[in-house]
Amino acid sequence: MPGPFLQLIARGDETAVAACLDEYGGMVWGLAERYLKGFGEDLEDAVQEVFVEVWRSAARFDPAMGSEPAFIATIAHRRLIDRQRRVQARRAVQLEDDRIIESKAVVKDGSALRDDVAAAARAFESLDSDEKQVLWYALYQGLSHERIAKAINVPLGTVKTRIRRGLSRLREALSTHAGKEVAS
Amino acid sequence: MSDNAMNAPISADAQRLLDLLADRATGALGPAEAAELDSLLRRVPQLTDADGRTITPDYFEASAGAAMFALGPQPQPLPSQVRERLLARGREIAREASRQVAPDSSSPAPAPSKPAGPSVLAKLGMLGWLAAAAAVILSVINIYNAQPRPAYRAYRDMLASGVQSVAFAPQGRFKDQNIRGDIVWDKTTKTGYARISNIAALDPKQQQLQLWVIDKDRPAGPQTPIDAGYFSLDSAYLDPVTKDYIVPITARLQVFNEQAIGLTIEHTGGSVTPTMENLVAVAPLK
Repeated sequence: MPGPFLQLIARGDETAVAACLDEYGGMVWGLAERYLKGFGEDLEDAVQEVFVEVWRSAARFDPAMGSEPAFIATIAHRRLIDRQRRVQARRAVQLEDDRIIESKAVVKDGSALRDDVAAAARAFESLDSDEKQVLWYALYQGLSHERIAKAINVPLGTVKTRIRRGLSRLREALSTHAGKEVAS
Repeated sequence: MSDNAMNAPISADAQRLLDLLADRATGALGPAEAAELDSLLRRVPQLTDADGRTITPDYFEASAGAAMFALGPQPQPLPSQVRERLLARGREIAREASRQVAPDSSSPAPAPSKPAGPSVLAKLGMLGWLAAAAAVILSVINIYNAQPRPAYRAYRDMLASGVQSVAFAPQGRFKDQNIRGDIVWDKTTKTGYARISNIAALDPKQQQLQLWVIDKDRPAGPQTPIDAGYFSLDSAYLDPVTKDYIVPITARLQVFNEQAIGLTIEHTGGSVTPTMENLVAVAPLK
């Protein structure tokens, strides 16, 4: 079944639920594993929380406003990072300042996700290294802005500016990608 | 681009709102900032950045979501048992959506869009017409019954507005009972809704559920936690579409610095202080 699936789910199409899970389940499960494994969190519970919100919000999905993967990623991000922050408050995090920060998303050929993820990876690669660094700490490591400032030894305001600038530039790059897709 | 290149001449409110939206996208909002964000979103309904781009409240969150995919690991196959359970839950939600979109196909036929003309009435005969009229009435009743209750719509509207939503964590002996639920809570108005499902029935003559607001800044004493309402598990709170119980969280006293919402089983009529042995679940607030 070709996507997008959310509008079908909003109309009550049960077969679209299975297709949606086949398309995005592995990605969300992978993200949940990456973010929450080792924190004693129930991965199934976290993934269910993400998908229940995705499906319950399906009627709000508007393709004119963004792609389906971006919509799902936004919800997954919000839910998973909330959980990670809750548990991370109880744990010390190993800082990895010298780690090479690069996009490493790999999605199987033929997936409807592939173009979006590839576009996100390209957009991320196009950022300046200082933007990539703070976003990697904030989104991949789940560090607070204060902890990032300490880790890379810059003022808090600089961290916030770099994060906002990086997110803006990502959004611009992805909007350009979406615009090209619409035009093609 | 320098680190200061985005300090463009836009209003102080708009600038602060941009900062807070970016902070929220990276999960960095404290309770005070979350309240400030709520307030600013109300004060600045239309936000544009220095380049004139319209910035929606989820503008940065969509970028953060994309960045997560870009940075994310290779997708892992969903364990088959997890997939089955998710599938069952998803189909349930799709069925609920289906009932909201249109009446059940097994329901009596809906009314024709135009009144039947004399020739049709003649063909049907009076009995047929009465049956058709009854079908219309039944259909309307079915549609009405399948509509979400106002409480559910209010819950859903709050959820969509971006206020915090936190899952209930079952406590003690209730951990094994697969109770599900969550709360939505607006820190500005100090109001919210609890959604509860999969909870065992209680005899309403003996026991009721009671909600509590745990307030960090309220001195210890009989007024803490704050009573936030008690209720029976009956049709008054049961949403016919979702089969969830949706209950307003109404704190009886002023809330200063809420930390969590608790749910206990109490004797009918509620208690002044929660019975901790009967603590069903807690939803921690940010």
